[in-house]
Amino acid sequence: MFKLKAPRGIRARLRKKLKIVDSKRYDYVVTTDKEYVEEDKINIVFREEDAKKVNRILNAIAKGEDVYITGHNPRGMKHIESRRIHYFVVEQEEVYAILRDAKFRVRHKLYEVEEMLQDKYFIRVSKYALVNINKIEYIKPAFNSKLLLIMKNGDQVEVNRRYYKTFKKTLDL
Amino acid sequence: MNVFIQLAEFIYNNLMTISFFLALFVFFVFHVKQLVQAAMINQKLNVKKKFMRSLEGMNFRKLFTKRVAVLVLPLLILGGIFLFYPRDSVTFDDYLNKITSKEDVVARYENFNQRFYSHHFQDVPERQDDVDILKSLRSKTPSLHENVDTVACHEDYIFSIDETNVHITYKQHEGNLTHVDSLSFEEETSPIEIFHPYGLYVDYNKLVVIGQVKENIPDGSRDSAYLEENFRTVVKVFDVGDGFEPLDTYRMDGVLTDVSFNGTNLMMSTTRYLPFDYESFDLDDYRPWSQMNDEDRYYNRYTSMRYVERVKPNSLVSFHTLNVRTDNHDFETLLTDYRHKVAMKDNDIYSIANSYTFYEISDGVSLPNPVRSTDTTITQLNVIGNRLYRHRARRLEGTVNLDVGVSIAQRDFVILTLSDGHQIINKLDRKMMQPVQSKTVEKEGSFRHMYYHNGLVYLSRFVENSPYMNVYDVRDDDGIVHKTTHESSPLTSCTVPVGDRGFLSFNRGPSTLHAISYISSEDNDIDFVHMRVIAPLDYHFRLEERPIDCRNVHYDSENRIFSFPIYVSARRQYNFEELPAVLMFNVSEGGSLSSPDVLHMPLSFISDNPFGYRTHTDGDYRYHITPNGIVSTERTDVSETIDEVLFP
Repeated sequence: MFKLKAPRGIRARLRKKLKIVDSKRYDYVVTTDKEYVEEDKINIVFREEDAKKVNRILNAIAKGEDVYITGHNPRGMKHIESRRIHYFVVEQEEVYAILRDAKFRVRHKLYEVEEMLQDKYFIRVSKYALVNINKIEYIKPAFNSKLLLIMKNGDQVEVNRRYYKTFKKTLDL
Repeated sequence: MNVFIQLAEFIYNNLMTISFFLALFVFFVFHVKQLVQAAMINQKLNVKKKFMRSLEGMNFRKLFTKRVAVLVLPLLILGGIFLFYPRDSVTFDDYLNKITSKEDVVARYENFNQRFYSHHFQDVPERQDDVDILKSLRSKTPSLHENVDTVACHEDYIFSIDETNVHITYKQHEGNLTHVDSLSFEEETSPIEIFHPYGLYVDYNKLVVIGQVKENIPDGSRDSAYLEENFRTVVKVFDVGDGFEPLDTYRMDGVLTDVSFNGTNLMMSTTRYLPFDYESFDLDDYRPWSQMNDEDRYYNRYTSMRYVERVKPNSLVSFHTLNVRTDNHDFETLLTDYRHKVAMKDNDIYSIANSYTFYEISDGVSLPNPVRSTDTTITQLNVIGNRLYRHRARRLEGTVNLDVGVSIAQRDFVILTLSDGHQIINKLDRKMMQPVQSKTVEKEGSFRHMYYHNGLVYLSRFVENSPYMNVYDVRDDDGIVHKTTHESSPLTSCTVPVGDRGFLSFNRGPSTLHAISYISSEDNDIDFVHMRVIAPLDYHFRLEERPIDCRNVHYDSENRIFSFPIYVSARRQYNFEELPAVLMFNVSEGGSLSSPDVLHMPLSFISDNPFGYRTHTDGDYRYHITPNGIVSTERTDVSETIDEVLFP
């Protein structure tokens, strides 16, 4: 969503302060220098000392730009902000979005959901599950080089051996 | 045989108890392993989350209560067994005195000096000038301990420093090399601040450079300028994965004296000498501090400092621990003597200094020498997690030779002290929990070197110009035993371990350089000593006055190959031309030495920079690293150069 552009000496420091993970497909250029402005993008030019304020603005943008997933349950239909979803799971060939205390059926394939959320800190952990990194409470090593993810709602999701390496690489474990 | 029968009987009679303890132990080990692994993974997850934009709180529960309870229960049982197990009690004296205020520091200094310098008779040392002390302290190159060096090697890169740069060289396939970049600190060179890198290492894709800056350098070359300028220790962190971007800068007050990296934490020692007699001296200006990036400085409080009892209180020595992955920094400060030795290994830091006991005399009474005895005080600090803790202090009889009298091993360390004309070998366990084992040795002739390796202490000395070497076994808990005496001494200031039972030393003869290998048999009754002149027939060595710098000598234990740099002078018509070269030779298991191979380095590699030569092996290739460039060869064959790179 965001791309940070700043002189070499301060780039890393700013990235840490603003918590920006550069993505290939970005709509916003965040920079301290007018020279880096890209005309076909939305540009945020700021002074380094205003980094805290900019961080709040970026939070608001990220919140506004959140992807909404349409979920169904017996009560009806609901648009759910992706940041509230703990994980997606496939059960009996249906994809479900699991929230803190609710479960919604999603009318998409899991790979479609993965594609929709690829910039949103979701990570595939098995053929049947897609997990929100921010909702992982604790990682518990299990037998056979497997990992058990204990989510903030108490659910347990297993990292499949096939996805183990990708998972560790993504999280720099 | 009897012992085995008794053992078998014991096992048979206590089968249930043994099984119970064995099961308990296995259960405990398994859970500890699981818990440590989980803690490490989750710490990294936490670090990752810090870099992510989370729009909700990041409350992170580190450990489950249930899992902790599972761990604590067997711990309590084991702790109980340990507590009630009968053993000899060991008492410890705490020689670390709490400092109460700024005035307390001054009072301790004045009280010590009043007694120490009360009489300027023959045996009492003259008071040294503050400026001379500062000059000597600041001219000393910091000691680089474990994992910190002038060269650091990464999976893809070789990093090396010279006076003001870090050179980055990319290791291509098949031993080829490309100079990628040089991180220059010259841009920071200004009348007020000059950064000099001294050591570096790579930690988790971060390049960490440790150096010093001078601040407030006054104009002119007057002596008092030494009292006004300030030395700061600086740690710079760069991102290897992101174009060597600068990440963080940490600053600490004081002259950097020792640095080490234990795999997680950077450990440093900085010294702030206190010139109490300087007219503008204000102790508050010398209070140790640390600072991260542009954040406010964190000053250590006087009440957090400790005075090492009976040691000259002339410096504030700070020990730092810094985790560049998590930005955690901690430091402890001791009021102690600037002339102290620091030893660092794994998570332990030892500060060793001489301490003085004075005669108790009434005011107005004078003695020729007020010092009743001089002893050695060792203060230990531990790094646990990211925090630094003062562990304890012990005192040993006699004075220590701070340059050569301390040797630290995996589980214990040896300190050689001198008391009343006798040398004392002291062995202490690394935690300093057990009683000190010591053995008094007659001081005959002049002591030269001490070497401690694999439970054996080797002492060399000269008696009437003849070298002797005594070997002592310190492995037995019952005491230190004299094993053997050799009427020659292979020990020199450059001694490198070879395997478990041997070592190799380099020595300069009148016109040659020779290597001596010493391999002892298992029972140490028969020893093999091999000597070879390490000199190609058609070359001459440039013999320098100073001893061989042992940091330049490298031992590849896998291939049993030694390599080290020399200058050779080749005859060209009627003149000799000096050329830099590397000598490599092999040591067999029996200790015999092969004739050396010579790798000629490019002439431009001649350098006066602080480090001479390092080597790094990666797969089939060997990289010969100098401050001016790198040459790559086959790992075991240096007859041909694969590639060379010259730094700009």
